[in-house]
Parts: sequence; C-alpha cells; structure tokens
Amino acid sequence: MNSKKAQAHYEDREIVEAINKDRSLETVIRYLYRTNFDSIANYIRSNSGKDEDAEDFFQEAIVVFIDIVRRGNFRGDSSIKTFLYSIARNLWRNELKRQNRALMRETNYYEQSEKEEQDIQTKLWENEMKTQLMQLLEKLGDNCRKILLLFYYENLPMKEIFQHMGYETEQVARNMKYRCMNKLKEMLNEHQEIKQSFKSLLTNG
Amino acid sequence: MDNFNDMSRIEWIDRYVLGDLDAQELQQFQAQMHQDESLRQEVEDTQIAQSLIQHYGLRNEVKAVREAMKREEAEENISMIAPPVAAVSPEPEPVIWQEEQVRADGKTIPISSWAGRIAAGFALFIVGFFAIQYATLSPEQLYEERITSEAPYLGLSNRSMEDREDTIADQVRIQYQFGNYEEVVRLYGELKSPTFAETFCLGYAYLKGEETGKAIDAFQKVIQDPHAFMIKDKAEYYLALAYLQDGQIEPATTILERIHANNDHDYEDSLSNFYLWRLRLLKMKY
Repeated sequence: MNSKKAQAHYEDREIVEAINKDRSLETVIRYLYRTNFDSIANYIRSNSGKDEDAEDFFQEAIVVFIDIVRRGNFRGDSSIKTFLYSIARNLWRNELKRQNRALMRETNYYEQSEKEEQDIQTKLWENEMKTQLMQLLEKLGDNCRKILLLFYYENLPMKEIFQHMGYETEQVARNMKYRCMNKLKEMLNEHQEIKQSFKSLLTNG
Repeated sequence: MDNFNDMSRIEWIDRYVLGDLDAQELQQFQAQMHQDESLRQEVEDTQIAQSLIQHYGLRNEVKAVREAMKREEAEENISMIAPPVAAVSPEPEPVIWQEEQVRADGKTIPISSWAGRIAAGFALFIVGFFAIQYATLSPEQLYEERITSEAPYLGLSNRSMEDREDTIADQVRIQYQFGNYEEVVRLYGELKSPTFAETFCLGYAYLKGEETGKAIDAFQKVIQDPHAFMIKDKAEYYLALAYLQDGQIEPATTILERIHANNDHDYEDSLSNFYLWRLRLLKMKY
C-alpha cells in the first residue's frame, strides 16, 4: 500500500493485502482511523462511554482486527467496516458487563455471520489474556523489551540490532537476546495457567 | 542439525518460528522436532513468547500512529486559527533598493525606518531568546537531554555463551544490560572484589536511581583505576552527568568542555556547541 495514497479510498482486499505484506502498518492504521473512528466513537459515547473510552476501545479493536487478518481468520463475509464495528461493539459490551452497568438498548446497525461472531468472541477472550501477559513484558526491563521487539516484531537482522542498541559486537547482541528470551520464558512458566490457555489458542488459532 | 550447539539451536528455532526456513530445512527441522521432545518444547515456548512480543509491538505501533495523528490534527487546528501573517498583511514586502516605500494609503515610509524595524525585531528576538533560555534553563533539563539521547553503554560483557552467568560479577553486568538497576546495586554489595566494569555498572545504576553522590564516587573510582582505560571516556562522560544531576554545574562544565575539545574522546560528537553554550549560561545563572 503506497503511503502517498493516505487520503485515498482502499478496497477491503487492498487493506488485507497490506496487513499481510507490509512491514509498516502506518498507512493502514491511519486509513482505518479515518474511515471508522467516528461511527464507532459515536456508538461508544451513546452507550455510556466517554471520549477516552472511544479512543481506548477503538485502538483495541484495530489491534484485534489486524491480529485476526494476520492469522488468516478474516474471511471477508462482511466488510471491514462491519467487522471492525462488531469487534469494537463487543469489546465495549464486555467492558460494560465488567463494570456491571446496564447495557443500553441499542440499534443493531449491521448484521454479521454467526461464525464471525464466534471468531470475535474467541479473539476477545484471547485479548483479555494477552493484556495480563502484556504486564509481564513491562517487567522485562527496557533493554530486553527493545531487543526482543527489534528482532521478533520489526524483524531486523542482528547486524542492525547491535548497532541500533549500542552493543559493541553482534555477538553481544545475540547473547543479550538469548538471555532476554530466556527471562521471558521463565516469567511465562511462572504463570502456567495463562500460558496453557494461550498455548491452546495458538494451537487452535 | 543433530549436533547443534546452544546458539545454533536458538538460531534454528528462531528461523523456524519466523518462517525463514526453506522447504528442505523445514522438513529436516520438523523431523528433528519429532525425535527430540526438548526441542519441540523449546519451539513451543518460543512461539508463545514471540506471539506475545508481536502483540505488544502491534499495540505500540497503533498507539504511536494514533498519537501522531492527534498531534497533526492539533497543529492543523492551530494553523487554521492563526494563518501566516504574510497572507493577510496589507503591507508590501520591503524592497531594499528603494529609498522609500509607498504604503497602501499613499504615504511614504523611508527605508531607514524598515531597516530600523528589522534590526529592532532581530534584537528583540535575540533578547527574548536569551531571556527564555536564561529563565528556563536548569541542571535537571540539561541532564535529562543528555541521559535520554544517549543509549547506555552495553558492551561490558562479550564473553561467549559457555561461561555466562556463573558469577555474581556476571550477574551484575547482566542485570545492568537488562536495565534492572536496583538489582545491580544489590548484587554489587555481594561482590568481594569488584572490578572497574562492575563499578561502572554500579555508577550508572546509581545515576538512574538518582543517588547522585554515590554515582559520582563510583565513576571517580573507575576513572582512577589504571586498568579501566577502555571505559575511561565513558566514565568521564557519566561523571559529568552525575555532577549535573547533583546541581554541581562547575565541575560538570569543566569535564564536558574538555570532552568537546578532545577529538579522540568517545563522546566528543555527542556534545553540540549550542549545548555547551547553554551549559555556560547555566553556570552564569547559578
């Protein structure tokens, strides 16, 4: 997806393609915000939510959506707009339930397939669990988090990472990454219950 | 693949989970996993950890893009409220070769008046800039600028994987590299005979923990150690930052000016003339 087309219209197919292929998701994320944020924010605001809730839950919905696409679980039965709306709506409903608030009667703007609804529910549960695990990553320390993100998220080669991080040699960076990964695995092993649930999701996902 | 040592085993696993193996390698690796339960378990743990890291990275990327969008929107709003003066100014641009300017109402303005205005505006700008710098400068501000713009020195341990993590000294360095500075201080206390490398870690840990006096002591100790010539430049630089954090502008300025004047110093490039000018200004203030 070309960044020059930031204000252009994209077909759903192009968005899915960009999520699966492009290293940077900036153009996709901007486009999703530009075309979907207002309607979802309106929904959240008209159902007891504040502006900050709209921001947080739309952000979460985008993360869930991109994850579903990357796992190949977005079948395109409904449009991205509808799908994203469903994710955000379900996220917000769960939050309201969590807060023990009465869910206001709402208008069902969009219809979606039963299978997609199940996918979304599974994804939401997984997401909740990941939120807990995210807190583990926060405990890893800045340098560890950074080197693991550069390697496993940015997919940068070690010869770039060692310069980026200020290590003297590539080997130092390799050793550091090894130790950080071991540390993360140890932390995961200390939270067996969450790890096992997460593992089953990976297997079934 | 059967006999891979620790590191090549990790590289194989990484390449597998990142999908970098070609068809033949993939087949070999899967066969190996089938025979080796510990390998299969390691792959599974790596996949779980990798998935988490990717999720964390994605969240951060979405958040960063949204924040950038909000900043851009705010800037656009400001520019809509205050459009550039030139676009609505009724006065023509000054032309320096004309002896006098003709105003919209037909009256003339001598060129000396334009030059005076420009000079006055420039002088006002300089005075205003100087006044703002003088009023807002603080040791904390200059310290923060340097400490956040410089990655911590991480090259203290490049030993091979085989002899890793077996002594408290190793642990001190590892915790320093992880950024667990409280742990560095704790472990350092257990060392019977710390070397300059661990003392450097300790100094940096104290600096980050804002225990400035102790940080100064540790960096001074490193500088005085004749074996520490490899990291003397680094210790000097952080000693100056420790002085700055402590509000001791005089010694901080002396060290940083000396570093800036020394082309061979590791941190010579890190210090701009503007930064040193502000440091001198700060010295005048305090």
